[in-house]
Formats: sequence, C-alpha cells, structure tokens
Amino acid sequence: MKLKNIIYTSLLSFGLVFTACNDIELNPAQEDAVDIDNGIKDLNSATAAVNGMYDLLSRVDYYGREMMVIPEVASDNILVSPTNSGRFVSNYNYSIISTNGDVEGVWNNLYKNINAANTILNFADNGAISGATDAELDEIRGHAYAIRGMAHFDLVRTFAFPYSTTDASVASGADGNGGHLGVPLLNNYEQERYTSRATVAEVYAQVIADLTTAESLLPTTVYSYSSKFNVTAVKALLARVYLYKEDYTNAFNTAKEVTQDSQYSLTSNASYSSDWNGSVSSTEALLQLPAFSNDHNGFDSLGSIYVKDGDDGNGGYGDLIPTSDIKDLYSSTDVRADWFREVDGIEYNFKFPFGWTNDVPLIRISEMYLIMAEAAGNGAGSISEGQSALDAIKQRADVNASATTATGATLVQAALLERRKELAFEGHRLYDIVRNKESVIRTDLASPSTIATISYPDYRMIWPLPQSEIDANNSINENNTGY
Amino acid sequence: MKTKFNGFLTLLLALVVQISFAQEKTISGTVSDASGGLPGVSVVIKETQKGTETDFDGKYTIKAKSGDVLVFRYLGYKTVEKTIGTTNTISVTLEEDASVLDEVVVTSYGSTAKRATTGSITTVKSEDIENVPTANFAEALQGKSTGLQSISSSGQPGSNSSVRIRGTASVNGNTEPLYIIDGIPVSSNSASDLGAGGLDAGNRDPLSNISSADIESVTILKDASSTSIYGARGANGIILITTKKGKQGKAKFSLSSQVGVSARAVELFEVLNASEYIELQRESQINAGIEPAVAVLNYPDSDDDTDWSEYAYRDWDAVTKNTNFSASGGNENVNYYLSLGHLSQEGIAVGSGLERLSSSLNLQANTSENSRVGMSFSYSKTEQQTALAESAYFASPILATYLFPPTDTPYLSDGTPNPVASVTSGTTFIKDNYYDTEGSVTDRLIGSVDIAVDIWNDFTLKSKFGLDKSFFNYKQYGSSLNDSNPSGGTADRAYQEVYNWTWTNTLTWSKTLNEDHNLNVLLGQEINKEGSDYFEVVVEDFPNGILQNVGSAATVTGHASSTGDSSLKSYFLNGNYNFQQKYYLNATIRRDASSRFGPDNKWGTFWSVGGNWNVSSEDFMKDLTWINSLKIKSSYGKQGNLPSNRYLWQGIFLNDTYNESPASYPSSTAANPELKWESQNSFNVGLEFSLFNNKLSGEVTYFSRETSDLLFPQTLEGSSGYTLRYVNAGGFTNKGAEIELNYDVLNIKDFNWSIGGNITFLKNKVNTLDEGTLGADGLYIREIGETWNTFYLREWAGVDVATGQAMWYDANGNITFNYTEGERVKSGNADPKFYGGVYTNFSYKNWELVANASYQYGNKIYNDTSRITNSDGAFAGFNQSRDQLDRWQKPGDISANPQRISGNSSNSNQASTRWLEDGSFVRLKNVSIGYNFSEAITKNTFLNGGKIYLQGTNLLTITDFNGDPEQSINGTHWFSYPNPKTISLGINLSF
Repeated sequence: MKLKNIIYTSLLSFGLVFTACNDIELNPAQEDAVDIDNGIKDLNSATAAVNGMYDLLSRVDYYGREMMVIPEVASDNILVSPTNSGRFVSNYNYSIISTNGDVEGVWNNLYKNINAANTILNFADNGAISGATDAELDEIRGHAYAIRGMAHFDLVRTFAFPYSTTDASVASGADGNGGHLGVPLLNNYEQERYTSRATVAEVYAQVIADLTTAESLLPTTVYSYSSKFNVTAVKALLARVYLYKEDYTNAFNTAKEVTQDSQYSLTSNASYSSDWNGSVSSTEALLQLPAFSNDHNGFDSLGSIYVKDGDDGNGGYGDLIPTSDIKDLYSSTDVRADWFREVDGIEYNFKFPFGWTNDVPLIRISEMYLIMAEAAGNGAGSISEGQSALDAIKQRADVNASATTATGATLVQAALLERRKELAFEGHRLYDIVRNKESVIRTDLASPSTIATISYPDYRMIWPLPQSEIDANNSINENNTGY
Repeated sequence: MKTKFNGFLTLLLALVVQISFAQEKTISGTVSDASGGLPGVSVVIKETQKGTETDFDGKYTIKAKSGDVLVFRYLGYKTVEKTIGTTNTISVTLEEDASVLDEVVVTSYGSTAKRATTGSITTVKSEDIENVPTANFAEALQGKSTGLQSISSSGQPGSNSSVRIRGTASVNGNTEPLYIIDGIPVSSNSASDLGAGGLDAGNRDPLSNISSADIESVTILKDASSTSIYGARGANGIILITTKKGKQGKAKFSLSSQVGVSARAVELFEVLNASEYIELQRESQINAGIEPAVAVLNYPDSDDDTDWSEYAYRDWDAVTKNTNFSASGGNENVNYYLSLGHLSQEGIAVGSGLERLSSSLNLQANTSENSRVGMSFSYSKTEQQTALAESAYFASPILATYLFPPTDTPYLSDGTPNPVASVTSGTTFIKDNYYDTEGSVTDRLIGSVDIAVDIWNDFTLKSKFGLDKSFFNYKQYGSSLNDSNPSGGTADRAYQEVYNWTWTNTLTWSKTLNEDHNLNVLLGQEINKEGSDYFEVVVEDFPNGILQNVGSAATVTGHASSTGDSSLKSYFLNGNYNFQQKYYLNATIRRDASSRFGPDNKWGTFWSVGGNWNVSSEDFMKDLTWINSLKIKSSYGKQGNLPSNRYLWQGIFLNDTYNESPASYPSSTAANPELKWESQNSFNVGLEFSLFNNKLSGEVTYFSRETSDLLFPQTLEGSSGYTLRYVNAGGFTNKGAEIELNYDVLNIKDFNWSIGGNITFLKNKVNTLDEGTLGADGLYIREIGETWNTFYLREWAGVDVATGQAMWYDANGNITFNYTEGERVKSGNADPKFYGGVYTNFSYKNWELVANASYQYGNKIYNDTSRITNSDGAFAGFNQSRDQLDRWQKPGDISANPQRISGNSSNSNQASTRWLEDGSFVRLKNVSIGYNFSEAITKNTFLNGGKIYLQGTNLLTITDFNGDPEQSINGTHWFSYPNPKTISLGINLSF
C-alpha cells in the first residue's frame, strides 16, 4: 500500500470515528421539575406527593379561601364591607356566571387534586414505590383515597343540588335518590378524555367507597397540627357525607364513633377563645391546614379577607364583615361573641385573626356532636344522646345556655341553629341551608345587593359548571338549569 | 523559524510526492485581488477536465504536471493562465474586469459568488455598523435590508432589539432569527434568558456584548435555499455575522475613537405644570360633587412646580465614549486579527448605563499544503446599571416622570429624598437612586477552533467546535435608610451561566468537469447544546449599612434557581451545480432531532431546491450592452421552528411545601408526546439586475412564507385533571414583495453621489387556529383570514357637546354613553403595510456625506400610555398630559376630552379606538459628514489613512404618533424607556 493511501485511509477512518462519537443526549432530564413518569419512585417522593395533595387543598381556589368564604358570603352570615374592593361581590349578589374566575378556578383545582391522588394510586398500585413497607404503602394510598373522596364530595355539593332533591325544575332527573346529574368522576390515572357527568347517586357511592377504603388504610395516630387525614378524620368526613345524603343512621353512628376517639376532645370554655388565635388545637381539630410565615397565600389568605390588620402583623383587605343576623344570635355570655371586634367603627370578624398565617380548620370534633343532634332529630340513634350532644356544644360556649328538651323537627332546628353559630365562617352555611331545603333570608342587607330572599329551590343555590369545561368536554353540552 | 520549518516540510512532502507519482506534483498557491484572498475562483488544467476552486481564503491546491497550463477564472475578473515550471507555488493576483462586477456572499457553512446564489441574501457591510453609538449593533440594521425590521423597544443601554425577517410567523415558538458568528450559533435574546427571574431580562441583550467594530459584515439570509441548511432553526431567517480576519501583507493597525452625547429621540408629550395641575384637579373634584371650598383645601395653591423629567432624564448630558484598536496582518501561511475595545454609554435615564471591555483574536494558519487550522476567540466584560423598567411603576423614572404631580418635590431642604410621594406608598426612583445600588457584570466568551484537511483529490474534511458562554452576575442592595426597604436593609444576588456550543463536521467535494460542469457537494453532521443555569438569593437584616454581601445578612427571605438545557443532533447535505456559470442549481436536505420534542416526534426533515439563470451571460444578450447583469432566481423549501420553551411537551411534577415539608403535585399542563416542529414552506422568486454601466442596480423579490403546525395552548376540560396542553394547531401566511434599488447619480473625478432605497410590502394572514384560540383576545381578535394582531376595540364617538360625556358606537351604529354597550369592531392591525429605508452617499474629494432613514407605513399602535395620562380624572392623583386641558367644561364646548371627574367611573379611558393611533413614521437613523485624510496630510507621518467625522443618530422622527413609534412590535405602547438621539464626533486612524 502506498504511503499516500495509508495516510488517507487513516485520516478517513479517523474522520468516521470522530463523526460516530459526535452524538448527544436528546432525552434531557429537567433539573427544576420531575417528569410525570419519574415523579413517584420511593417513599420520599411518594410522601412529597401526598403532601402535594394537601398543599393543593390550601390553595386560594380550594380551602385556602374560596370554599371557606363563598358558602358564607352567598348566604346570610356575611356582608360586603363599605370599603369592599369588589371581591366576592358577584357571589353576594347571586350574579355568578359560567365564565366566573372562581367557578373555573375551584372546578379545575379540585380535579387537579383528584388527578394528583390518581397519580399516586397509579404508581403505588403498580409497585413503583420502592423501599416502602406495606404499612407505609397503605398510608400513602389511604391519603390518596381520602383526598379523592373529599374533592368529589366538594364538587357534587357545589355544582349539583342535594342528594334528596325532587325538584326537576332545577335539577332534571331529580327523584329524591340522587338521580339528577352530579359531576364527572375522575377515577383513573390518564383517564380517557371527555368524561360525562355521573348522577349524584353515583358520585356519592364513589365518595363513600373511597372514604371507606381510606378508613381501612390510614393510621390512627394524629399528624402534627392535625395536618392530614387519619382514620378518625376520614370517619368524620364520612359522617358529614352521610348527613348530606340524609342517611341519618350512618351519620349518627359514624359521628358518635369519632367522638369516642380519646385522642380528640371538645375544647373547654376556658380555652375556647384562645383556640381561635391562629390555630385550632389538635385535640379539637380533626383536619386543619397549617400556614407558616414563609408558606401562606399572602393577601389572598382566609384571614386577610375578614380583617384589615391581622394579629400576625400582616395587613388584609377586610372586605367582608359579619351580618347582624349572625352577630345577634350570640348572647352576651357566649364566648363566641369574642370573634367580633370593632375597628374604626366597623365590626369585623376575627374568628381567623391572623391575616396571612391563620391555619384553616376543615373538620372539627364539634361538628360531630352537631351531626349527632341533627341526625337524632331526624330519627337516628337516640333522642337523649342527640340532646346531650347538642348541649355539649351549646353549654361549652355559653355557660348560661339551658339544656335541650326538644325532639324531632324542633331538635333538628335547634341543631341547625347551633350549627350556624358554632361553625360560622367555616364554609358550611349555604350547604346547610340548601340540603335542608330551606331558603336564604337576609335581614341585614348591604348595597349593592337587593336580594333579601332566595327561596328554595333557586338555581342560584348551586354553581354553574365552568364554561371552559362545557366548551372543551364533548360529553357535556348543557349547563345547570338556569345558567 | 516557523516559515523555515514549513518550507522544509513542503520540500520533504514534495520529495515524497515526486518519488511516488513520477512527474505529477502538487501545486498550491493563493489567488487574490487588490483586497486579499479570493474564494471560489475556478482553477482548471487547460484542455483537461481536472480542476478545483479556491477556498474561503483564496487558497487552492491541485495535482498537475510540469508544462501543464493552469487557468484561473473568476467572474468579474480577467482570466489568467500560468504554465507550471519548476516551482510548486503559483500565486496570482486577478485584475478586475470592469465589464462584469461580482461579489462574494457569506452563506451558511461557507461562501459563494453572488451570481451563484439562488436565494434572497442581503449583506450589510462594516461601514454601516462600526460607528453605531450604542452597544447593540442590531439597532443599526433597521432600514438597511429588505424584509428586515429591527425594533428597539427600549432605549436602555444594552437592551434588546426585536428583529423580524419577513414578518412574524409564530406565537409560541421562536420569532427571532438565528444568529451565527463565524459559523457558531450564539445566544440571542430569543434563545437565551440572561437575567431571567424578574431582573428585566429584556434589558440585557446578549448581542450587546459583541463589539460592532470587530464585525466585517452582517449577512441576512431570508429564503428557503439559504436557510434550509439550518433546518429546524431556519424558519425566521438567519443573521450571519462575519468578524474581521487578517490578510496577507504587512501589519495594519487601526485606532478609532468616538464621543457623543444623547437625548430623548422623542418626547412623548408635555405634562401639566403646577398651576394647570391644580386647576384640573379642583375642577375634577367639583365635578365629582365635592364642595369647591373643599376642593381648594384638597389642592391648595403651591409654590412648587417640579419638572420631574429634569430628575429622570439627562438630555444632552448622557455621554457615550467608544474606543477601538486593532492589529492585523499575515504571511502566506498565517494571518491574524486582534482587537481591543472600550465602550461606555450613559443612559439618558438616570441610573442606567453600560461599560464594556471587549477583545478578540482571530488566527488562521496553513499547517501543511493540504491542511489548515483556524481559531477565533472573543471576550467581553459588560457592566450594566439599569433604570427600572416601566413595570416597576413609580420606582421607574420612565413612568414616574409623567405621573408624579408637579406639586410634589423630589428632595427635602437638606438634600435627602422626600420620603413622601403623594401617588405611591412604595418606593420612588428618587429614593432608589439616592440610597440603593444595582448592577450586573456579564462576562462573555465566544470562541471556536477548526481544522480542515484535503483528504483526497477534491475532498475536504473539516471539523469545527465553537462555544458561546456568558456569566451573569447581578447584585442589588436596598439600604435601610430608604424607608421603602425593610428596616434592616435588603439585598438580592443572582448568578447565571448561559451556554451554547456546537460541533460541526463537514465533508466537501468540488469538481469541475469539462470546464462546463461545476459541482460542489457538502455533507455535514452537527451537534448543538444550549442551556442556562441560574440561582438567586434575597436577604434582609444587615448589621450595618456598610456590609452589602448576602452572606452578611441575618435572614434569607427568598431563594430560587432554574436550570434548563436543550440539544440538537443534525445531518445535512447540500449540493450546488452550475453549467458554464450560467445555470445554477442548489439543493439541500437536513434532518434535525431536538430534545424540545416528545419521543414520538423528535426528528424533522427539512429541504429546499433553488435555481438561477444568469440571463446576461447568454450569447443573445451580448448585444444589449446596457444590461450589465441580469439574473432570475427562485427557491422553494421547508424549514422548521422550535418552541421557545425547552420542555413544552412534558408533563411534570411541580414542587412546593406543605406543613414545612416538601410537597409535589402534577402540573395543570398535560404532556403531549406527539408535539412536533412548527414548519414553514417558503417560496421565493426574484430578479437581480445591473444596468447602464452598473449605474442602476437592484433586486425585486416576491416571497411567501406559509407556516403550519404552530404551537398553541389548547384548553382541556378541567375534569380531566388538567387545564391545558400544547398542540400543533395553527397556520399563518406571511407574503409580500421586496424592492431594492441603488443608483449612481454622479461618478466623475471628484464627485461621487449615489442614492438608494428599499421597500418591503408584507401581509400576515391567519390560515388555521385551534377553536379555543379564536375570538377576542385582549385588545385583539384572532380570526381566520385576518392578520394575527388585528385590533378589536369599541369605537370611540367623541365627547357629547351638551353633557361632556364620553360616547361610543353601539351594535346598531348609534351613539351610546354606556361603555359596555359599545360594540367591539375590527379596527386595523399592528403590522405595517410596508417598511424600508433610503440612503444617500455623497463625496467630493476627501469629503463625504452619508445619510440614511428608515420608514414604516400603515400600522396602528394602541397607546396604552395615553389611557393613563389622559384619564379624564379616573386616575385621580396622577399628573396628566397637557392634552387634558382640551376638556369639556360647559354645554356647547367642543373638546377632545370629556368632562373631568375625579375618580371618573364613566369608563371613558377604557380600551377603545380613542387610543388607537397611526404608527407610520420616517426616522433619520443616521447622518454623518466625514473627511478622509488626504495623502498630503499622511505623507510624512506614520499614518496610512484617517478619517474624522461628525455623526447624528435618530436626529429626526416624523410621525403623528404621540410617543416613539419605533418601540412597539406588537402594536401596544406603554411607557417605555425612550430611544436616544445622539450626536457624536469620531476619528479613525490606520497605520
């Protein structure tokens, strides 16, 4: 071989090797976020994903504010303040439309949370979580079922008339047994698109199944600040679901079981006021979303909408103030009257006195006593147990309150009144009115609303589905009646 | 020493060759013209089919026998023949053939004779760029090339220019051209994110790190046949920057220096003085129902009459100094160019400025007779202070100037800033500039090395590695003395690295057959990676006012980081063929794979075909002596476009905290593994001509860019768990025509005068869109068949003479006083109907006068600034434009503005055609008068030449628009940092 050829051959092969080595990775791993397929691999990442679901609960578009505030402002506990900057005015006026930002925000955030739960279940069920014991896996899955149940329940009570509705004029197909349309069920990871609306009965069945499964998987111990579901907290939510379904026997029994857990107890009269000092004690709270000075929703926090100057040093909007309708319910010896504080001539609601860093209580043991009383009035359990459950709440708050002697419908009314007083501003009021087929009656009414009465059944008692859902979902073409 | 060694090597090699191949030997040399090496010269052995072409530096090698005759042929030059004797080196200098002129244009991966180009290419020479008195040379491109718009939306030193070539063809993908410096793609404002994370990214254009004095030429590639070889990145056109290289000959030194002063090019409008302000405020309050006596109490007479612009701007006090030194030269084996530059530019707004030190070194060497190496290296250090942009509201001098009441005062009697500002409880630019400090330092390295080996007869293998890397270091300190800062003081520190590297391997084959058939084939392979790495720490609570480093603070209040990268892998093939240098064909195919797409659609194939016919070379044209050259060209092809987001297709977990523990959850954006390239099919046809002894030359082109598969976010039903995903669902057409004309009016001994201009007609049209994207979108409507940025506004009907109320037209064309009843109508669009530039060059003996202007016609601008500064009282406490003096006061008044009411809730200043203005303009971009030193001056000095000049930039702007019309590429104007006009004096010396 000639020298030249040797040189050229070696050069050419050098060139080929050179080129062959010149390769590059085309499937980059992100450093700021994990790919969905690699997000849950071990106990650490699965625990973070569980925390992620609760973080989504804390969002402004869920229990961080909207779901706590809107059932109050769209009923009879809240007035918009004279200095209101426009927040929640359309809720107050009952002028919500399908393109409303809160409607879309709450809907999307709840399904986002359900998707987070399904993602966890997908990886847990496929054995993708390495290094976790069976008990740890059960705990992870238990949280996912609990959150999925909670979100579906919150959707169905916000976007559909109650289970026992018979008024087809507002809920087509209503048969008293949840035969009318509820919300789409998102039960699977990467579920096929365009899910149609399940009936209310189907949604309740799914919610009860999920919460029952969660109950069988979760531990009994209490998390710090009661910041996550345990067995008892899931039971408490289940009791609430049975109450909404008007399954009073199960509601009574389940609520009673919760009150029997020795880890929890009613806060005493003496400690009651301080329990509303930014965080409810973890013996009273069954589920509570803690906020911290470096982890909160800022001006959009729950406290900030009620107070202008928070006790935590953070300013707020103070856009919403309590009605005299609610304030007048408390006697002067009622410890709960401490919630109202006058600043510059306006009486504000200081139940959540920390502007930005108030923990958000979702389920308290007090609610279980009220469920027992209401269920007993509706014929479940025993009347005397119902009466003493009600007294436990009444007399804890007001030492002068007389013992309950009412039975039947009168007991139900007494329980509902006490429920309004005890759970005021905690996101129950509108639901309690609607599921009992009552009307919203406002005597203390502020401009710009002129709506003093919303008589049951009124289409405005539930929300429209967001327009974006109707536009994008081929299986849903019509909105709720009236919208 | 080196030369000796090389000579020895040559001798040795020659000996080897002699032994191996009898008489055949390798002949090498350089073909040059008066100005240096000449690429693309055909070198053929007479009466054979054997031949080659000279490379970029004019070098060639060829195997031949003694006695053979080499023919050197190049269009525009006289053909030379040389007989091979004993020597192995034959270098020739070609003389220009005045009858045919031709030039060389730089193209992707090489260069070519202009007559051979099949596409639309415009070259901007160094003369048009080197004396630009700003950091960013892209600002000088406006008006210089057909098809190109360069809009500087901010006059902040170092800020971005938005460059669009033949319109905007994407919404969520890249819209800026690809910038390539000496073959290396570099980060530009679209591709990188220097200073991301809320640090005014738009104020730090990577292009402003490059010294314009080092640029030899800027070549703008516009059509398929010139851009398809960059496949996935070619759709928005390509800007090739060629830096200066050394040339064979004795060392040349040059020194240039320039000093200038700047002021605002356009003053937006005049604001009210104190007495006018008080008068209008009282009137507005009274109209709002406040007792006149109370209104006087609220707005008492004031002795203060502050002109805030005196504190915000330093008109004609902002100094720019620019000094550059270079040395270049070379011998037959090595050439070099090195430079050092210094630029300091004070911004016209207080608290802004830039100082840049730049250096570069370019080296090229012949390592043997069949191999060459080269390197280029440039380093720059840019220190920058930025005036906070308008988005910072009252902390920004840009906005505060117009809105602070004239009755407020900036300083107290002791000279410290007035802590009280009536319109803001936050900080002000006066306080910020007095107490706080802010600034960044960017170090940037751009470098490359390459090696080329002629491996076989006509084959050359070339490998090139290039890197562009920036280090960005940002520091901000807020003193505790500034009452707007936290009580212990605060500091922000950010650090970012941005990189972009490319490794290219090519194999070229050049062959001339039968003297008639010329063939050139390029096969290439390339990998590219770019990315960014960023972190930021924000702290509070310093022990004293001396320490400002983040480590000295007690509390960390925030930290952030972001890291991202993307890569490309490519193969490409380009072929050029011509017959008798009359008929040219060009074909390209490129395959690109990008990490920015999902596994299903990573690869894309792009291609183009082009051809031209040099009509004037035909025999039948010979009699038409008034036609010097005439060329018809056309091309068609497909290019791609990348999304600006690196991970658009991916579904991800987002991170947060819950109960002081890490938390993560799936994002609301669903994955789309099928996401693919935005693609573009573009067609180009043009005519180039040179007539009447080359007195009149020009080019006429028609083009059409049809983009499809445009990326858009698609709304998903919330019940899926997601709210959107990105899909390929949209298509635009951008089509138009370009005309360029140059005319030598005079060309006699001492007088030379030429004029020219260019014009581009452009029309954008939406062809397809996802259903969710259609409809009203802010100020615009997105509709099939319309221009993308079509305004959709309520129609303003003026002011009611009887009541002073604002009026709009409703759906039936009737007047309404209710804003919400006003009907939204399509009301023009943000794209100009045509744009371009004109120039004139005049010289008499050693004097020269150069001027150029750019213009734009037929676009609308929504003046969002006016909405605030002509608010009719809606923004009660703000100062207002003097236009507000023309307001309704009593029945019968015919006025431009409605009755002023404090806290006006009539919506009169809400979005409507009231704020839509004509954005047409003509701007005198540059005018310069210069004197070139005569020989009489340089004769007995060390100087070879020199020039002294006086230059004005942006001196004159003619427009009806109330503001700077050049600042809004999307058609919305909102308090922007004004562009500067500059007068500068400069001197260039060479020795």
